Amino acid sequence: MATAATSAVRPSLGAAFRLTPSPSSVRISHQLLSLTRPMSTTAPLLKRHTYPGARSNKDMSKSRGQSALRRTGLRWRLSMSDDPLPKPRSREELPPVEVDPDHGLWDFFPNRETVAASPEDDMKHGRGWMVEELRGKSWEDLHRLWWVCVKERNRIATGAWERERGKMGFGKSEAQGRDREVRVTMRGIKHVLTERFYAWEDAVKLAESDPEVDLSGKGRAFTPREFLEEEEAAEAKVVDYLVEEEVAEVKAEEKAQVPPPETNVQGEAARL
Amino acid sequence: MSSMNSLPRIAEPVQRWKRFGEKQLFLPNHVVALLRPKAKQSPHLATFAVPLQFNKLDLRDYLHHAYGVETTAIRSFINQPKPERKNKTGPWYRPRAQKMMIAELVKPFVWPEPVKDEEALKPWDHAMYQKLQKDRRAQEKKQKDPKKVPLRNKFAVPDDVKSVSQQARELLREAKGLKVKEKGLKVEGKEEGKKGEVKDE
Repeated sequence: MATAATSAVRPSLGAAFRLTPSPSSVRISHQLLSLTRPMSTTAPLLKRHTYPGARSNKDMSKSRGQSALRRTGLRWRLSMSDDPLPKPRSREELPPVEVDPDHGLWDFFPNRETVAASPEDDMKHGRGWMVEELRGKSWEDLHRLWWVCVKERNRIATGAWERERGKMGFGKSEAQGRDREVRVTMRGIKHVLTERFYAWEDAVKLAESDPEVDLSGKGRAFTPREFLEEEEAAEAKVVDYLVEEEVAEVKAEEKAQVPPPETNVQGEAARL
Repeated sequence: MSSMNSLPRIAEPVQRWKRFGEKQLFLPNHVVALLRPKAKQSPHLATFAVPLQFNKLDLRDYLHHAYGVETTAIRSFINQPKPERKNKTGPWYRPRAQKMMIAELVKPFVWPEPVKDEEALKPWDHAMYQKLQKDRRAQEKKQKDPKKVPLRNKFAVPDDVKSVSQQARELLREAKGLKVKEKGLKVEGKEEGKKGEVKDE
């Protein structure tokens, strides 16, 4: 602190301070000097004049002279000033990172050891799902299958990047063939869903003209009208028809088998 | 181990996302590839090649919902390739750019070591691949600089052509009755010391 104070003062004055310990003795020494030396017109002591409202000459910046670039350090002592700074460690000293075997990023790898799948493994695939096979599947199944396809494509892409960046060798065409089959499946899923959408659109159109369907969203959507009564009436009609037929048959039989029973009738009538 | 224990503890990264996207996407058709990190890259960083229309929030939600991978932050950049020519001399065009994203992971992930062993690379036919690549590179280099393409007479002459031409020269000398150099005439079945015969002729 003391050295900082002296250096802040002009060097000539600092030299004067060094020669003489107290400011009062400085004044005396100047008077002595003026006596011994030949006459001079300069004032013996220049004193800064202060006037009311003058700017304070104090250094208000407490951190003047501190610079990170120049590595000056701090002007003040801190509680941790004596603590040694931590030193960076080399990579070899650090403990090995433990990777979670269930980490989600493993799903990006076709193969956990080599990352890229070998062309032989890539070739182990069948054909994609056909539209006929997908038509019978529910939306939940189709949605699940879509995500299986998306992840498989990501896996193929990751393997391709690794194979090309690491200059591992051939295998592009095998990977592309596999990718093509996955895309066939995805196209089939979209096809089936589009078909279902068209079927739904047609059903809505039909329902608009159907008196049994209520599309307003209030109450029951489908109310069958006089369905049972109509059936009964139809049954009754059928019964009537059958009865009529039977009667006609019986009449015909009677006509064929029984000879004109006039005599009998007469006899019966006679008996009665 | 004691030095390891004395290492200063670094706080585990915590996911700070307040909420995820609300728009439901049932059939996304994007391909996202995980790329090998550069050497000395932190195990808490994972690099992805994503479609150009992806943004950071998309990747964050994608990893969270599809893979169960939690992230703390995502950085993104686009690799713009140099303009190319079609068929070397055709019109110039700009190949499609590639968007990359680097995700900061909550759980660290270390890649397996790259396969360098020739035996392990056999399924990819690495030896043949390298040979073809080398030849192709040499050919391209040759074609790029026409000054370096040697003239026809500067090509290296094959050995069989060399020996046939020399034999023809010797025959001509013989026909003119000149002295024949024995050195070049190494015919099978002929024994040594037959210089005199030729001289006699």
